[in-house]
Amino acid sequence: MGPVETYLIPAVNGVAYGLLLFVVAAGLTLAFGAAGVLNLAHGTLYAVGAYAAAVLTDGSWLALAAAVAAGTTLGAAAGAGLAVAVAPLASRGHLSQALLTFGIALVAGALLVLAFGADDLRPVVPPVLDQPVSLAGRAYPGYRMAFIAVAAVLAVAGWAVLTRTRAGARLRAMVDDPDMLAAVGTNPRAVLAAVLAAGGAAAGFAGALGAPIIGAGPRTAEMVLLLSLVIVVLGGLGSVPGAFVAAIFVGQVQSLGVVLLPGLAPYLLFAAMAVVLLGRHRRSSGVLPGGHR
Amino acid sequence: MLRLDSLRAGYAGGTALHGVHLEVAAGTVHAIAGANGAGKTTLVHAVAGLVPVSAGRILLDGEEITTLPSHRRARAGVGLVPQGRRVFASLTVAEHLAIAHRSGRHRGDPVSTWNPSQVLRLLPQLASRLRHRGHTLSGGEQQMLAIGRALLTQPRLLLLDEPAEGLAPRLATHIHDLITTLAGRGLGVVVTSPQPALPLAVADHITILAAGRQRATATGPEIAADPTPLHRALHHTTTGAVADRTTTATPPASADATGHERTRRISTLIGGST
Repeated sequence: MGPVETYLIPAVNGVAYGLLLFVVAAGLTLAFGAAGVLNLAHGTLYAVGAYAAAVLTDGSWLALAAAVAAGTTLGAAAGAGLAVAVAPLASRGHLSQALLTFGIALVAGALLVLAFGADDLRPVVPPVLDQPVSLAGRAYPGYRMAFIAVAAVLAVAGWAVLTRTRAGARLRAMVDDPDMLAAVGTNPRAVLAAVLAAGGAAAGFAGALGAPIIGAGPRTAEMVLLLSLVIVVLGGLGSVPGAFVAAIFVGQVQSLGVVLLPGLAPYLLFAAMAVVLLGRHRRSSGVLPGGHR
Repeated sequence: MLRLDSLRAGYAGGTALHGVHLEVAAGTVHAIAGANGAGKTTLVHAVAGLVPVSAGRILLDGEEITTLPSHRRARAGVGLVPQGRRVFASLTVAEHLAIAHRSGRHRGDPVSTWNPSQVLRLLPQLASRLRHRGHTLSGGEQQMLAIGRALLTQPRLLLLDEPAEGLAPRLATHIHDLITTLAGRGLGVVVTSPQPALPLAVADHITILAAGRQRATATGPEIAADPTPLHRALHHTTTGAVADRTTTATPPASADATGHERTRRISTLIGGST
């Protein structure tokens, strides 16, 4: 085995994996940064999209498009529903809201198993996407390459919305100082609902397209949630660029890390998280974005 | 314009404001002076909807806004320039202006409707900073931005909480000139300050707060005739002898006196305690 096979292939795998996790984690970090809502049902929205792909796809492009549309729509609707559900608990603090989303995630997870069984399901993608492509002279799964392209486009589009539009500016203003955003006449609850719906749509979209990478199964939701939480913590709560770097890092640890340090791989993620948390504790401020009083 | 009826308010677990009565007419400046902890910020935040009101009423042009959420008060015409400016750290100046700008709300209202280019004419310091983010601005620039941000919400009432805090005297004077200009355009203005003499330069009325209570009441002609109540109330607050009364008083507003002339006179009046 040459270095290409040994390192390049896992590295590209890590990029695909990292981009997938970034599309999911971006919504999670924004909802937390903007309104302190830690949406523990976020992984479930990914699972819903993944099941949509597993159930609807039959190898045709139309079915794939239908699965993506279904996953995105269901994710957005579920995100908006979560916004409605957590709104009455806003005055009772972030823990109550997080617990509610956790309860919703448990119930939804049980319902998904009831509906689709306890086996892992695989989507059937159009044959063209299943063709291997050449990567530095080696065969590489074409679907992963295509996924990297789509996820990169989505990440760039999301970044443009966040940094170039008035809606994005309102969202960043809410991360900075929600009281002052209200004082200029914007309803912070409407911003949170929009963030949860958009984040849900992104998670559902990622689930529908990412099902061949992280498939639909009873453990999908908790695995995606756990990795997303690690990314949100590593990247800094509320920071989208931080989440991007952290997601690529997590993707590399999960793929390249296994090749380079097979014995340590299972501990690498959480060791990295501990190091980041300790380092940040020393700097003290900056963990929670907030207003300047 | 603004009327507070026996307003009580406070943060969780305590009342910081005990029954304040206050009236601010359109086109006038009402100064709230008092030491730290006197309840100035609580009063401003209660009017803006950032602190819950436990008793009493807030009326804006006769309409009760006591229980409206903060963003609806902003749309109803309450503009806030908070203590410490609180500009959005990660937003550029242009983005501040864009998200604050609301148009066409008060058509036919005597208060002029603001747009970003008018704000930049009023606050030219911001024009060269449009692409800079909030956290990179100087204190004076942040204060201008906080004022511009509030104006773009098309306020009828402008609340400024310690706008001169931490600014060089020249900038503080500039802020006070701005306040006079804005009141001249028909805005009702409430401005707080720890030192009474500063807002007195521009204020038509002044209320002294101590420990969340009003100390006394007087108007311009009353103060001109007899400065003793203001003297006494100011003296109590500025010397730290915080007591439980409040003075509302108006500085001697003789037609020819400039703001700075008035400041000088008031300072003399109260024994140079500024």
